[in-house]
Amino acid sequence: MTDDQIAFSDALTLSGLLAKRKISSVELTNLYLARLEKYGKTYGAVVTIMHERALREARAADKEIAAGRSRGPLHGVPYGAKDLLAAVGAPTTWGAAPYRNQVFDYDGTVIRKLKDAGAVLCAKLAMVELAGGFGYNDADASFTGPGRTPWNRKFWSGGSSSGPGASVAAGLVGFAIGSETNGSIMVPSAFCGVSGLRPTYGRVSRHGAMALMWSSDKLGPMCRSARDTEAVLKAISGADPNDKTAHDRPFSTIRGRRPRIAVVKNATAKTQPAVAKNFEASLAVLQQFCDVVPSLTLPKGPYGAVFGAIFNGDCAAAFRDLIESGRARELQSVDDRIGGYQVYGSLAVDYVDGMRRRAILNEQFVRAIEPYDAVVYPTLSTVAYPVGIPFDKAYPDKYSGEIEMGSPGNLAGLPSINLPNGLGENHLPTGLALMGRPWGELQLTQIAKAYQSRTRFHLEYPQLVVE
Amino acid sequence: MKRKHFIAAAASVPLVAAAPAPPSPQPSVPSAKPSPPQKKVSAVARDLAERMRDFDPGLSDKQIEDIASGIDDNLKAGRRVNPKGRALKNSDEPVTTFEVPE
Repeated sequence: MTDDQIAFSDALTLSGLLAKRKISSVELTNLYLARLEKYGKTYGAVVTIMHERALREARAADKEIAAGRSRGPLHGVPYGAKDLLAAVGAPTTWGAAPYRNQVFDYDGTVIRKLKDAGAVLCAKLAMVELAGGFGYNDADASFTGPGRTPWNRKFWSGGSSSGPGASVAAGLVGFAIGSETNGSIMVPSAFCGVSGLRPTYGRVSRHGAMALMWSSDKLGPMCRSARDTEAVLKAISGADPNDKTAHDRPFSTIRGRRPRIAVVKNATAKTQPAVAKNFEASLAVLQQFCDVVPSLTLPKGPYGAVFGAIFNGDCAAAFRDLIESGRARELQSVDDRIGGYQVYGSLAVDYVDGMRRRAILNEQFVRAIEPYDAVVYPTLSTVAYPVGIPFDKAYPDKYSGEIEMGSPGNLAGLPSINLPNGLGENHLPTGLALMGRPWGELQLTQIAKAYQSRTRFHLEYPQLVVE
Repeated sequence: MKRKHFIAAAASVPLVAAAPAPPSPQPSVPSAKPSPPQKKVSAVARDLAERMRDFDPGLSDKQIEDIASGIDDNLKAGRRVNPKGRALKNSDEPVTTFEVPE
């Protein structure tokens, strides 16, 4: 295998190479460290490369593998974490200049669990400052510069898990950990053409992660295959005394029948033509092994207003010290420099009413999707937005931006997965989204794995450049 | 002290009447949508925005105007959470400890 072929392999393929001693963890780690150095800046993907810790963990993995001890499928596999996760050996910047020297002396629970699984932490990966909490409106919203999709660096990698998306797509790590409050795993996964899994709220501990909206923050895997997302999720999930929202819940799968999926009504009504074409082709593949309901009408919101009412209060509280200090002026995005004041000016009564309305909306939404193993829709209505142009000017008038599934899904804490399903305008990836029942992640990955066994989009990778 | 001033400012001006407007949820990933035309910003939003100079005296008039506009959007979106005709009932409890059901 060439270095490129190794670098772009999925984590479970790398795991097989390690177990068979075709490559050592130190060799693999050095390969990824070199690629992070070579390409990380070009794609705005990296904050800190962790040579010392990575090689120490890789040597330990090699020693154990040589002794015949296996810690499971991630043993010896290098990875990167979004820079909102505390990890010993590097600053944790939250992507924001006011926090660029922030250091924690402990590993977040996900980092610790991955260490227990034998994975090798190589880098803290770039992100939109404060995970986008202050309302940025263009790609240049991180102190490390704009995230760029490896498919065409003139376009954004998506956010706020911009570094995990770009790093996985560019083969700079074996897999990555991202986070989502409202779109931050699904969007960069779509814009970068990777398989990204947003777990059920409560499946994965957030201990050590930056808080943005306590009742919606989730950590999840971003990988080069659906089977990888499943392996990583199993390694990082479970109860944690440091995060009371994290639970041990069983994983269930679909047995003895064909999966039942429903297509969201008018799913392609406002999409770019290539997004619609790729989605229809994806449905044809899904119909080979699923029973498909063609048009599911979902309950009406107002999801966005409810999400916003809750989000504003949480975000203002989470960053009250930053807002009241006036240091928001140090943020990269001009919108972020004032966005904190906008959320700070929200009303407590709206927050409480948001939580009241949320209870009603969640019950209706979960009941509507309950008969199905997954509801499907294009992850986004367009390909990635250009760097250097405000988002609201990127595809003016013609397209709506996000398919409006993010807010209801995140309000209800439901799992979702993005799968690359082709290329659209400017040779940029498009995405297929599957949203599932509460705690139904493995039903999603079961369908996703079957889809990827019939397609090759997840095996394609971009030609990289260095600038 | 700043917090006290802020609350006093919020309490001293009447709330704007409910108006239909798109929500401003400040999501992690914003939607691409056309810029709205120049709009009228409420007095309460202007007053709240002005108070933000307590935190950063260097805020420009344009920034204060933009902050006021954002606060106004949020206030209007808040009205959509509990609209007339679909009002929350007294018995509708908030999700105080959010948990996904089994």
